[in-house]
Amino acid sequence: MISVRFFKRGSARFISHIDILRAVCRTIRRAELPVEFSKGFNPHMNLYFSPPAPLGIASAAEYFTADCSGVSAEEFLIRYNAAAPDCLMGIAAVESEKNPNFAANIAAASYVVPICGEKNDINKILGLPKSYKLSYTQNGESVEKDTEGKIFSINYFDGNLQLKLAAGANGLRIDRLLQAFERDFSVRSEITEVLRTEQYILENGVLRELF
Amino acid sequence: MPEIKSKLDKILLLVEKPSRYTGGEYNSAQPEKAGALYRFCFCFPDIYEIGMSNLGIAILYDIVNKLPEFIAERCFAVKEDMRRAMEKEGVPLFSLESKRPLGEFDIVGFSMQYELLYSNLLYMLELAKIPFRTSERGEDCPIIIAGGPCTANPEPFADFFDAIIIGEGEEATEKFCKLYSECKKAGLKKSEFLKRAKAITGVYVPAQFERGEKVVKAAVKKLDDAPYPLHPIVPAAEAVHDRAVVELYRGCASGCRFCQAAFWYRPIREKSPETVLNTAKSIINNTGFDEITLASLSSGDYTHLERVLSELSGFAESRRVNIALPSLRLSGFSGDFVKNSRKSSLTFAPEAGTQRLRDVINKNITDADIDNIAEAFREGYNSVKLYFMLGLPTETLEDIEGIAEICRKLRRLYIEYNHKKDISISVSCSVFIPKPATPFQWERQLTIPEILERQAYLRGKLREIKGVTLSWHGAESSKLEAALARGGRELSKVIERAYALGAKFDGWTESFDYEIWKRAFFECGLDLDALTSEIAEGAELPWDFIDIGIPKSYFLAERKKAFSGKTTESCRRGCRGCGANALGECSI
Repeated sequence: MISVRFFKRGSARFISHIDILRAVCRTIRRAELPVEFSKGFNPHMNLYFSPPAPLGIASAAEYFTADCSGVSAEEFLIRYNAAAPDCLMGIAAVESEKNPNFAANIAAASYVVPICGEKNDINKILGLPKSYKLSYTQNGESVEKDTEGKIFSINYFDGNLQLKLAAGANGLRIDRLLQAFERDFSVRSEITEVLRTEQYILENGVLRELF
Repeated sequence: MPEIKSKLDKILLLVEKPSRYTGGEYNSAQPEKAGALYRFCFCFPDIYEIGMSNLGIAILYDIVNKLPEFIAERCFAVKEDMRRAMEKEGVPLFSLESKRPLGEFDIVGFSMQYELLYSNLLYMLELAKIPFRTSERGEDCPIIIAGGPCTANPEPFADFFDAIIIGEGEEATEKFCKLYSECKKAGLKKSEFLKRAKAITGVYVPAQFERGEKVVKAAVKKLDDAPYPLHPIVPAAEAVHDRAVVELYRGCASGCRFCQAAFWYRPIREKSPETVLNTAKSIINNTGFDEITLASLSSGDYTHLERVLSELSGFAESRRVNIALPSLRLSGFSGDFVKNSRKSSLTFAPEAGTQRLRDVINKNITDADIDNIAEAFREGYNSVKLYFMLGLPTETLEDIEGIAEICRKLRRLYIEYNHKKDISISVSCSVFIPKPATPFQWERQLTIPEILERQAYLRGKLREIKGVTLSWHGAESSKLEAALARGGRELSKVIERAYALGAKFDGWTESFDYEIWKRAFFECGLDLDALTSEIAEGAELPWDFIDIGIPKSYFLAERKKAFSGKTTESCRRGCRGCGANALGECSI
């Protein structure tokens, strides 16, 4: 198994997850990397992706694992990058015995968000209560969610918020959190300027950065 | 552009499938190029997923981008949600590569693929803030040109274009661009440039056209030498045809009398098997597509099909690429291919239900050929898609009953071979539309009540057979398509009026509104029904000024044969003397 960390930036911010899968698949085909295919009526490349960043958000920490042997992680990355569009360029690659199953195991992700607002309002965000009630609109309907246990840290530095949030099935979506901040604390941020910087897995009760 | 780019970030989050509008796809042109002086924007009057499936645009985009002085870009019609968002932010229609408003281009070229896209031409021009008519556009406006199959009769949209390239665009577009550069450097005015452009084969300049002039259809002489994109753009949002396409040949030897493409793309020019194989492999290597289509009007008839399939199959297998072979004729149906390919579904086009009517339209397949489909059943296929047409000249209820008879027979054969009843037959039935440049160009189209009546009859007949589903084309949109296909310049005001009344995306059932068009025809004092009735053989036709290589006398003779139920054999069994080889040698 080879896992790759890759960018999703520029125009790729607006590409849906399914189209990203297709683009990565085509990159691997162009690179002629020996990735295994499923066995079935419609064989597909055995690729396993980490939970996708929401539409509009850039990321320097997207991951996929390819069922691949016969090439080193280093060679995989070089060949992948030679065939990849700039907006989905690879950053690092590692080999592993087993599929790390990012989709199931990723527990948190961190983000940097340029933010505009009064110091007072930003301080309110930094001192957010444990059970901040997040409300957002989904399909035209208003939804309320408790963020307790889902915000691991919030820092502010040089005009940017740095947030570490729960990810995966019980995660907290950054776009929804920012939508709520905008309404509750009169701060402004643009979804399209958000950058996902890291993703983490939970290991022995501790969040561990991936490669 | 920087302004549009920054507004776009905000807009794109509000719309469905934003990757339709971002550009930057793999293999797309860089928005800047050293030494480039001029910009050409290729426009397709439908959405990204449809336009990105068009081979013509891909070929011409590649040609223009290879000219050192030119950069080619693309633009597609935007959906309503995007239009609203753009209007709110004051963003005009822009190109995908440099995000430049269309009005800032040197040349803007529209691909006119079929009649129901005419209203979208005006939709795109309006979003680009470009006046509709040539006569309303000054020196500061781009040169607006058109190409594509609708140029078989360009008169309905002629007033909107400065120039129209009639026929195949490869050579004409390149010459047009080079002449533009020369004239621009010499400081010539638009009208002077266009006057000179008329000398290029295939170029029609409606505003400078004089009665009695002829425009010769442009046709590539040797397809092997014609440029073909080996690095086509890989779409970011899934296109309708999201795969590699290699052309096998142009034209068609069959000469079905209703088929415009068959005659329009003559002479028949095949690519050599070497070119086809090299092209196919290069495109797969350069794009990463997992499917390759061997395209032509009747791929089963390609002389070197067997060799191409056998040599390509090893490569395709090792690269996990699926080979698709569309447009198989029943009589040229390749058994081995069926045996070896993935067992999904087969598609055939008998077009008519009885031998008598198939003889009238010169669809040279027999009942025995239809039995051939049964061969596929032995190989494990259990799904067949059949294309038919309603309202063909001389059609009777017996012919429609024949469609049901074919379905019944296929079902019977399937059950006989497989002892199972799980066959699925999907019948798709369009409405006959008399098109220019065909032996049936003079025919009447059924009236709307007649179409509805025959559709209902067919529906009733098919309902009695298990496993058969029917889909059909709308009577009203088919009527409009016929009217727009054969009309003259007077239709430009109807198109303008219909657009003003709200017509756009007429090719999409959910947005097509026939009442708008009826009103537009009425308000312009034109009779829609008259345009779809029979035309006298001696009458002057709006497209008479185009020399497509095939004289009217050939079409008239074919028409006569049709009504006496006589067929014309395939050109592959000897030349039928249609005359198209005057434009280039037939390569079969």
